[in-house]
Amino acid sequence: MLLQLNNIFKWVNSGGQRVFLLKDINLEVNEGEFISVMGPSGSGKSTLLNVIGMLDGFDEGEYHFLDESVHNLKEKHRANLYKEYIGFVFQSYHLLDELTVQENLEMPLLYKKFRGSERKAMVADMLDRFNIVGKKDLFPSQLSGGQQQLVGIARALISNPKLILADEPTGNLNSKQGEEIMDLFKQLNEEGVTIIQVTHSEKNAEYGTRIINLLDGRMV
Amino acid sequence: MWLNEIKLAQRKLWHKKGSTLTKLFSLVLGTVCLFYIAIYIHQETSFDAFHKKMAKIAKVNTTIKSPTGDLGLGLTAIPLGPYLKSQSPQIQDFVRINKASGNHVVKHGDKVFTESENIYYADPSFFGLFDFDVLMGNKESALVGPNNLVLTKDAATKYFGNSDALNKVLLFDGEPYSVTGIMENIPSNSHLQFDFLVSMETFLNQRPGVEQNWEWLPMNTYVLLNEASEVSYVEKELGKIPQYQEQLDTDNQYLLSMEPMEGLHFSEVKLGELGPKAKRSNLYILFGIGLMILLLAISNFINLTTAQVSVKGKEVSIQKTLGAAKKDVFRQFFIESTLLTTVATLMALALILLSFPYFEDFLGYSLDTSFLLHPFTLIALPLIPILLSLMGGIYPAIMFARIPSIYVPKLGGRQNSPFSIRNSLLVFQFSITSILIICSLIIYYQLDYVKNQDLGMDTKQKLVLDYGSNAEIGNSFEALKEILGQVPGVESVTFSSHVPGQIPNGVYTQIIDVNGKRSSGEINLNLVDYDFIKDYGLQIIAGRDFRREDAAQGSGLILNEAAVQAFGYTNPEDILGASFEQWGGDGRVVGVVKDFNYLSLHEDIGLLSLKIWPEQFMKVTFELSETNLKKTLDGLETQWASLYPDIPFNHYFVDDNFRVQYGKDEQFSTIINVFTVISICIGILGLIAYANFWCERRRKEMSIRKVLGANISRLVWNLYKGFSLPVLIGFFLAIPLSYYFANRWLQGFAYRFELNWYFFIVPFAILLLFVWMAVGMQTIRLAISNPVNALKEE
Repeated sequence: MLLQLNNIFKWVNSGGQRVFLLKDINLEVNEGEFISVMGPSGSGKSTLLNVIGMLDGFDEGEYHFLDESVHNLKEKHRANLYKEYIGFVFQSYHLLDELTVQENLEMPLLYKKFRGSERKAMVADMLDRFNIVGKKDLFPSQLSGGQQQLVGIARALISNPKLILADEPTGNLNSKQGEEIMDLFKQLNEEGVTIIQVTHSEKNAEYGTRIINLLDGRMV
Repeated sequence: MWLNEIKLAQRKLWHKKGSTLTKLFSLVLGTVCLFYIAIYIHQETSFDAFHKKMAKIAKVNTTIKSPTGDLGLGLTAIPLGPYLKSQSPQIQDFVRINKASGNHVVKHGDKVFTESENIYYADPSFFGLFDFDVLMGNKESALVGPNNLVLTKDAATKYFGNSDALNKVLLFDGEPYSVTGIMENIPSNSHLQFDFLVSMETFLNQRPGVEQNWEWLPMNTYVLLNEASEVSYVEKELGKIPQYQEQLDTDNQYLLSMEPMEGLHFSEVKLGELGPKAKRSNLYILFGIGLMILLLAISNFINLTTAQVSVKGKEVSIQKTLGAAKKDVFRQFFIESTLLTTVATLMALALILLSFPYFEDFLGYSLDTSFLLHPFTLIALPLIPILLSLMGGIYPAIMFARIPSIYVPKLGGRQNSPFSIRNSLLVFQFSITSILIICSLIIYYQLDYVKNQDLGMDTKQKLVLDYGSNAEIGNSFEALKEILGQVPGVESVTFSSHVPGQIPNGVYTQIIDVNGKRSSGEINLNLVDYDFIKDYGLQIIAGRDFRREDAAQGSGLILNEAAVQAFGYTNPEDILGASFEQWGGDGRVVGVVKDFNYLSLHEDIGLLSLKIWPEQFMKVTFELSETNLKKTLDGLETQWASLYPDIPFNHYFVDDNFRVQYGKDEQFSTIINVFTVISICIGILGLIAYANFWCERRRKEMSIRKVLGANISRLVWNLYKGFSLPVLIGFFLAIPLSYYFANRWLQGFAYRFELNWYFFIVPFAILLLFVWMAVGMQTIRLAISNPVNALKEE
């Protein structure tokens, strides 16, 4: 078991009323799973992903990740935990404009105190694996959307995470590019990476091994 | 890691060229200005500090109290120094210094120059009190004995070239003086400024009998107190001088006081004092400007950096999601700031090195830069960028570090409270810029006002030939006027002892006052010929001008209004015929002239008397026609050379001579204006760059408004409104402050204009115009852009 959410509640207070973003979420994710989270806009998909990614907190419930109880951890430990085990992929890629492809890939490693030679090797490895060696010195603005997302995924993978969280990874891509990205995810999953993706598309959801539907913060 | 961050910082800075350039520009200029201001202030405050015994040296001043008012002199009688030393054990030593007046012809071989203003007579103890470096000769004995003198290095080179000047002979007004010492050139921050230091015995030998004269006050007397003594202990001694105690009941009382040498440079100007004086308030003003420039530069820095939060916020969030901790983000932004400030410091250094000679040129003297090589400075120098980053970079870096990993872009409208940190900075920036504009306008106007004041006389096209004291020339003045008047282009010729712009000697004068009693006091005496009043355009308001047919030359006296009032007369007609006693002759008052400003307009008009006394004449004033000035000058010079080949043709224009009085003011005004313009530039630039970001931030809001049907003028107005509020607040904060400063500064002038409302409104209009222009460009561009472009990004 990779992670477990027990009775997770998250809410905000608005005009004296409690508005629930997540309501009584119970979820168990095992290693090697490929889960698709679906639901209409505002149903809490992204919030759930952020909670799982430890970027966002929650108000009630328990969250176990590997052997750690995330709800009891201090922020610093939490940050260390997600730094080590989780990679993020975003809808709008979120590459840093001022960095080249190569430097974008290297960035997460900088925050994990790898040595320079190690970083070089890991980046070269990743460039190789994704077939983007020829683009390593280009800036994001010089790449197409699909290529940018490829770099985004490579960046998420570089530190060898156990879990990839992808928030509508194909949302900004055309169908052909989207397909390529989804094939890549599938391939990664087969190699043993656990993936949780948020998606609107039934077709993309089919790539996963399990589908979770959310409505108004509740699992249905 | 570090290399990576520096590389990233450098790319980021390059990416935002506009704001980076603005930050660089303001930091560089700010640092350069601050440096110059610091060095100027250092120069002024370090006056005489190189004298190790400075704390124990004091100067004795004399105040003459008389019915016509008190006269403060920086001078004392000749016997005072020796008397104090003999009477008071507190006083270890003394030195008397007399500055030689007039022109002196100094000659060695074929080198002949006229020297003036740079010759001092001093006691042998001079080098014991003051720490000037003597390069050659014996410090203790150099000034012992008559006709000995010490030269500065420059003066020695001037007369002796590269050959050894020691023990050589110099002809001083025809008399042989021997050079007994060569000293280092005088630093510019010394109040004693001279090239020739002649032994006091020379002075006393030339004037037999003055050694016990307690009423003639030609000496600057300095005393060295004992280690344990204080100025206040010794001051008691000063009241006990028998010669002055006798006079306590008379009209002329001599009161002595002591002034420590520390602070001498800033004390009130007293007659006969040596060296330039400075106003402490001016230094405060400069310091204030320097501080403001620095604050402006830093607030630009903070403003422009934090303005990027909305733009860079997303980036920070990504980095945090990828594992960056707060300290990573903080460090990255701090490195960015430090990189910028380091570049700025290096550029500032280069600019300083390039501009330093021009600055010295402008000041007219070389600055004491030794402190720049002091180890402390060398260590502190690299700290400047770090310090600047600390001041300007910490707040933004903390702000960035606090951005959460899930970035929520805020709509710009929310942060518009005038009291948020960024808006406070903006208000602050406006305040400072307003204060600077207002004050510089007032300073400019006041100096202009002074310059264009009606002096009450005609000083145009007046050339003065300064031949020095020469009774022979004086006595033949009528014949000379005839000859010199014939030179083509010369319209009139008049002789006098002093010309306007110079302070004539004050002399003891007794006149029958309005109550019929004998009353006396010090009155400045200018000795003139029959045409002086006419040629200088002075107005006679009572009585008559001097007449050639008058029986005795010196028996008629013409006073100015101020002198008439000092003797109690309200109607100038009443003083006519009153008898007077004065140095050089007795007689009756024959006329009264309207007050004219023969000194500078810093001072009120002093008491003045005019009298005919040809032997004492020292100057000829020529009024020249405006055409062919060069030819007239050449003609005069040739004519003069044929008459008196030995006397140099020393000449200047009265107007220039007068202007010298305002030289320091004008220099100060130029300094202030330059720095003000720079700081206004920094301020305005910051505002433009800030307007840029500000519009960027509100792009989405404006686009939404536009899609919903707002027209362009409404949008522009909307943006203007938000920007004008800080201007208004800043401005109203500036008014009382600048009013206070300006008023205090104006108090230093005898002639000043009244502050008016438009001195405050005009700068406001200017500033508002600038701001509107700055914002206008951005807003219009924003308002006419296609809203779809802004809305589809997200």
